Amino acid sequence: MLRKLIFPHSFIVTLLTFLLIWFFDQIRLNLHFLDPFNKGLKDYEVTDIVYSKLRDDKIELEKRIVLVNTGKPDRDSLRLMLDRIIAAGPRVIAVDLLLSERKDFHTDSLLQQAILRFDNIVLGTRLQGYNDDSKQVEAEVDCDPYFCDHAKPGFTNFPTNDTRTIRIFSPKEKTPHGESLAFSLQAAKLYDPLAANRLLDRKNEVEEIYFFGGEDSYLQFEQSDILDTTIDLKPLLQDKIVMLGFLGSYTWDDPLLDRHYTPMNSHYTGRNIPDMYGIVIHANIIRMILDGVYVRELSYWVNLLLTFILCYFNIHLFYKIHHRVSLPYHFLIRLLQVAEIIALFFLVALAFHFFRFRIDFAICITAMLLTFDVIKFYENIIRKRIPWLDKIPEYLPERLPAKKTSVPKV
Amino acid sequence: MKAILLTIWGVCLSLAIAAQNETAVVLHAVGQVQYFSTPKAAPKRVYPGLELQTSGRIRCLKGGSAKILYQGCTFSISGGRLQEISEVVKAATTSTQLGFTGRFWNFITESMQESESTEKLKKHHRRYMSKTSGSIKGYATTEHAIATSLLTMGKLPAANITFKWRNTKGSGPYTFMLTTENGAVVAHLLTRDTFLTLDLEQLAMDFQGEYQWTVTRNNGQESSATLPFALTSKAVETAEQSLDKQEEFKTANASEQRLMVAYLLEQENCFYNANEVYQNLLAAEPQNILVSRLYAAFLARMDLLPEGNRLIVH
Repeated sequence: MLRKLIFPHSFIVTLLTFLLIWFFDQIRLNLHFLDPFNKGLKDYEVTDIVYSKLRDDKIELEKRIVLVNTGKPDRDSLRLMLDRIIAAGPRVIAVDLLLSERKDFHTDSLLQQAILRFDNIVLGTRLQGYNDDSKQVEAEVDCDPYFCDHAKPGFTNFPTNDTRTIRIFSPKEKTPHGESLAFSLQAAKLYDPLAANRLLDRKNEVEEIYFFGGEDSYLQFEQSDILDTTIDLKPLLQDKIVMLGFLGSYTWDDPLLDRHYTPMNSHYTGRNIPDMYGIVIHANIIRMILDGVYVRELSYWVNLLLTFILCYFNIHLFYKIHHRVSLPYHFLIRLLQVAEIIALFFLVALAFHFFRFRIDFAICITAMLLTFDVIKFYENIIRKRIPWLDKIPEYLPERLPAKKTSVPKV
Repeated sequence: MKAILLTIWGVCLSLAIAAQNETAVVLHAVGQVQYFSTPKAAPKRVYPGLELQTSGRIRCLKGGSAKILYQGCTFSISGGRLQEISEVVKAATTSTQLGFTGRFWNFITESMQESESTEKLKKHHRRYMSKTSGSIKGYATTEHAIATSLLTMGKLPAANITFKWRNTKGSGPYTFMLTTENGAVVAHLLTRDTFLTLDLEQLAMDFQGEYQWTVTRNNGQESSATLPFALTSKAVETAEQSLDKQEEFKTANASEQRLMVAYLLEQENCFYNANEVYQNLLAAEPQNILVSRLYAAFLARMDLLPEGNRLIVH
């Protein structure tokens, strides 16, 4: 059976293709910045189409998390809001605002008193400077110890990458003062420690964010709603994670403050306007941690092996077509290549849509694009110059039947 | 038999009650939004998390707005008219089902019919003004000596804005007042002309606030209606972006695209921006009857009937 699946020349061509891909990878020049079209595409992944187009539009209200739009509050307003929220009995309060320095002694001390009154407050910080050698960040900044010492800090940064789209987050980072948790993980840990441990047990340096939805999946309170004493906040906030942050202030100077590109952007190529506020991204991460909904990925080697197998059988298929069809061979192969790439594209999208399974078929697609040219190169140049390659059979020879031996009967 | 009939009746009754008691949840509310659970009930302030019966009514005052979640879909509510929640849901669903193109072509057909003659335009104007007066106190009624246009209400761009009015009795000087919704003065000016250009970006205003303007004469003996407005930024760009998703927009020619933008801007209460789009289009294509007729109908809706009539006559 196995013998029927072994085609020596297809195997050699597959190896050559992978060698070529490796070679290209070594001399790769990043010329994307020269081309705005490519720049748009670079910021795009096949799975984005799942978020943008294939998702069920029905909104499911997340009842464990509520958002509070603070705008750009002064510290006194923030303190008043905290007082009202604490009185309503939430389980966790996560403040996605940076209390970088001390301002007015009186208001600062009142704010500190408010923070001291509640155990489960997470305050946003920022990580600064990553040292590649020590694999740790240099400092956790933007939260004055006057406040931060009485709360749980959580860094609000997202890992930087080549693109502007937020897709991943780092659950924890090493700092000179020990380990620091991400803002969302810190909040989730206070709400459900077991769920947070499940994430930490995965031991991934970064986690892909699974986006459940935009701000419409959460109740969004305005500052005026919180400060309005005629509204009974208890039934609305009790036992919930209350996230305070910026959800738009409509000011002249910076209307797009803390707004980011995410894969949910309806313009999944060449995006124009950032689509999600930072606080909503954090809310999505918290939801993902609490529900244990993670994006699954194949390991690099399994992925490579799968690609190799796919590429190998693809090459064999091209050989078969070559042997059976003569005239429209080129046309057929090119058509097949396009069809295969489209099929792969859908396979990746559907695997993500139904199973949250991310398959990285970048090498596979490159291999498919190169296959035909590598076959031609192998057949027309290499095989002609290396005569012993011709001695290798197309198929492995069938095993000869065992000779009948006549054993004398005793 | 009686028992079966009684059971069926009981099931029908409970289904009907259940249908009436369907609830929507408020996701977000800005400004003054009121909810009336029954027609005679006292108004209740709308806030996130509040459950609303779909048989109840809702009203947004002074530029307030609310977003509700019902059966997995969100619905935005704005405007001072008292609306039944089930109607809002139904209207939004119907308009979504019709699609932008369907609505746009309906609008074109209606506008062309309404601007066929000065008589029809006058009717259109009258009908629209009686509709509008429901949401702005005293607007389009004869109780105000100074007439204003709807162009400078709704959402205004943060740029140079020309506020216009006309006075049926006598002339200036006029007192122009621009205030916040609470009455705090932002601009207070005396002017001779029946228009005034202000750079709103230079004034102490922000995107979150609700503002209003009014003009008086003769120590307040004659006045205009008080027109509410809010500020918006990049309205045209946002409209274009939202239309970019429509296949029909991509395939439409340049003037059709501009008309679609103007239509969408009007739908979003960005009348000032819509007017600019129409003006630019008319300047580029003065012989285009479609453009001039649609613009005439738009001006009539903005209470600028004489200007609309002039376009038809030409």
